[in-house]
Parts: sequence; C-alpha cells; structure tokens
Amino acid sequence: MPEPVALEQRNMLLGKLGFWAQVAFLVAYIGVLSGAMFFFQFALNELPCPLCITQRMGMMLSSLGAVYVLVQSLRGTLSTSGFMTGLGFSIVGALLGAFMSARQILLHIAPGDPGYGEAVFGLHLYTWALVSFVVVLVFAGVILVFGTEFTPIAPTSPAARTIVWIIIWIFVATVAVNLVVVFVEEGFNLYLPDNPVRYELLYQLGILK
Amino acid sequence: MDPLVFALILVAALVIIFVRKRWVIMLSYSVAFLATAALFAHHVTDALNVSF
Repeated sequence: MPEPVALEQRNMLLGKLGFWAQVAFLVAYIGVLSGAMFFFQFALNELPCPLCITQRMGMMLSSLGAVYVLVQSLRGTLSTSGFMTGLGFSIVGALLGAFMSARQILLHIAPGDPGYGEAVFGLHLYTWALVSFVVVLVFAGVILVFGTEFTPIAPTSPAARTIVWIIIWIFVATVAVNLVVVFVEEGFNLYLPDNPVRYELLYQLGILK
Repeated sequence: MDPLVFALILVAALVIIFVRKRWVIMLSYSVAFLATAALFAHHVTDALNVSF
C-alpha cells in the first residue's frame, strides 16, 4: 500500500494535470475560433454560412465547461459536483455541435458535391469541427472514467494564475468579436442568408454600395 | 438572431466568471444552449436529399 505522502503527491500531480488539461482544451478552441476561422473569413474572404456560425456557438458552449472549471478552481471553490457540472457543459455543448456539423456534412455528402468553402488537409471545416467535437467527448469521457482523480488543482504561482485568467478573458473577447462580426455580416436582417456573399450591415448603412 | 445568441453565450461566460450562485450559472448556460439549439433547428429546413 502506498505511503500517505506518496498518495498525496500523486493526487496533487493528477490534479495539476487535470487543471492544465482544461487550460489546453480552452486554448485549443480559442485557437480554432479566433485563429483559423478569422483567417478563413478575413484573409481568404470566405464568409461563414449559418450552419458554420452555429458550429462556432457549439464550440463556445463546449468551452464554457472548461471556463467554469478553471474559474472555480482558481477561486478554490471547485467541488466534485462543480467539476461534473463543468464536464457536463462541455459534453452537451459538444453533442449539439456534433449534430450541427454532422448535418452540414450530410448536406454535402452526395457524389459530385464540392462542399462549402475551402478544404484543409482534404477535409472541409465542418468535418474538422465534427472531429473537434468528438475529441471533446472523448476527453470528457476519459476524465469521467477516472472519477475524481483529475479534479483540477489550480497552481499557486501568481504568474501561472495570471496567465490562466488572461486566457479566460481572451475566450470572452473571442465571443464578443464573433458577436460583432456576425452582426456586420447579418446586418439588420433576422437571419443570415443560406449562402452569404457580403457584409450586409455595410450595405444597409450605405458604407458600401 | 445570430448576434443575439452570441450575446447570450457572452452573458453566460460573464455569469460564470462573476456570479457565484450555481443555479444562476446553470440557468444562463441553459438559456444560451436552448437559444443555440433553436437557431440550429430554424436552419434545418428540409429533409436531407440522401438515400442509403
């Protein structure tokens, strides 16, 4: 039987690993949302379709689980049930996102259909989105298999804690920027068109003609 | 509607950061989740034209 001190050290190590795994999850989705998608939207001028936008929302809902766990952990108020709540947020967000991307994949599955937008490494963005949602489901499932072993333990170093808070606020900023960009794309219309080709608000305000 | 749903997700994120009551957090997440699901349902307008 392991010594109590060794057990405590192991639990601390797994707890820290659990914490940084949640940080990695959040950073990965920030990268996907703000980097790759804005690269495609702004650099390649590929306007996101309505289903693409809902998949971004799915990624954000899924990421809110990690945000919840990290915030509670940094405050020192994370309980086992709180950890389960966070994982639950991630799972239901990823499930909803998976439905959305699967729907879009099936829309373009017929032979000869070129798909929507550019392909990356042979797969379209909505297919990569489905891959990411499945990865989240596997990630949350594996953590749940281990029960409370990976209950996150926040670092004590002020520098590390500050970095994590900055990452959390970058996520919030990513949501806010998406809100603004979609408003410019949709304008004062109620919904996005099926195949958007321009930023409606700029035309509605007379900035572009 | 899309900016409104993003706004609800933004509110849920801010509630998670600033509010300590768990039921408020769960409520704001649920509202954002249901709004996203409703927006997705609105865009599912017809049956898929596929047959296996």
